[in-house]
Amino acid sequence: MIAEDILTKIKDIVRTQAPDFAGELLPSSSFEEMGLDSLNRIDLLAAAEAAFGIEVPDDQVAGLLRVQDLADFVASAQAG
Amino acid sequence: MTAQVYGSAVTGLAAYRPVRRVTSEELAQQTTVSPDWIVDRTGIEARHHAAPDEDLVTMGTEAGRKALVAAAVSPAEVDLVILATATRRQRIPGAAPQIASRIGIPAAGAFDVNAVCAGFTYSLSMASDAVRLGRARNVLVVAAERTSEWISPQMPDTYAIFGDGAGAVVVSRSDSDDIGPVVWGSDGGRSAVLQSEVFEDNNEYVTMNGPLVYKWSTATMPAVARRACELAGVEMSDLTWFVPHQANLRIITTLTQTLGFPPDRVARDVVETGNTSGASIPLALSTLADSGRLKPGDLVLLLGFGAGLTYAGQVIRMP
Repeated sequence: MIAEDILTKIKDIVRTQAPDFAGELLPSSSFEEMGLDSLNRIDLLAAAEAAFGIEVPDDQVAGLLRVQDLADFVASAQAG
Repeated sequence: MTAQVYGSAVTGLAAYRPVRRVTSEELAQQTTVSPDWIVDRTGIEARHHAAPDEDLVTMGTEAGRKALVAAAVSPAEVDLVILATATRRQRIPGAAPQIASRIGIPAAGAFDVNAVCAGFTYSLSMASDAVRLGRARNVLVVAAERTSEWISPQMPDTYAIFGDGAGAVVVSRSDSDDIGPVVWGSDGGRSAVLQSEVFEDNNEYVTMNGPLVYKWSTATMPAVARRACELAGVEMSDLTWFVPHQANLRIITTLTQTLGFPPDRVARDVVETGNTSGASIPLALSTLADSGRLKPGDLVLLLGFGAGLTYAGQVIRMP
């Protein structure tokens, strides 16, 4: 999957998980600024796992804080 | 040698809640998070903290005694006492024999189980097996916890959630299989996400990586729930109640949504009782029973999960 498509799909997932966030979704946008706490973020990662057919190892969770972090992780997991 | 197999059933249920109720408003004043944070993050509005004289043996004895009365089983008819507890400071001996003695149960088998938040459901499974195989006429299963001894205001994530209490059930012979087969499992590779550690003040406290506990439980427990129903020969739609470990309302809500279970049929005792580790399931059952919402014949899915990491769940029919 090309990087742009990954980013688009992630933004769709984020919008579903943060329906009250009306701001622009940039690659640098953090999940926290969208109103997602650490448990919401786990739900977001679970949705990404299901959507992309990947698994997020426990030791990666703490570092996936922004849209681009997740996009980079998905790209790497799919290439892996 | 052929072992005779009986049916087994829960025949009595009771609880003991410590006298002192601590609201999240009061708790927040002692630590660095607000009441809103506590409620938003955990759903917990109150929990009970045991007084010094509400020790584990005392709480367990009270719950156990009442459960026997509820079951109309006399102490002399109890052949085994299992105590599920993870929060006993005194390592040796186990406390189950003392609970048996205080209740007046004469010389029954008695031992402690430490499976933390899954302690009750593991113990229930072993009690059922003992009854089914004719090793015990009646088993008293007690879960008693003083988690408040293992938390500190310096660690608000655990300070906010843990509470104290005890619950007990009696498991007896039955003409039918009213305790379903257990589904159990573990992941010791994740032990560090929820454990106790010794700190600089030489005290031992529970530490928790909340997001990783949430991740594991919400990802893993739905399949366990479905498997427990399958082994019991029921559909999830046949269940009257879902009583998961009362870890935190966010976990309970996500599990409910993932399973598509009716939210008004899920125990949420955590709101008023906090997370009482192994005692949480019998305490939640007791709350439902006291409210009149748990009826004889109700099919209930019990699901204990947590530190270990470990889990055990089964479907039971209420007496």
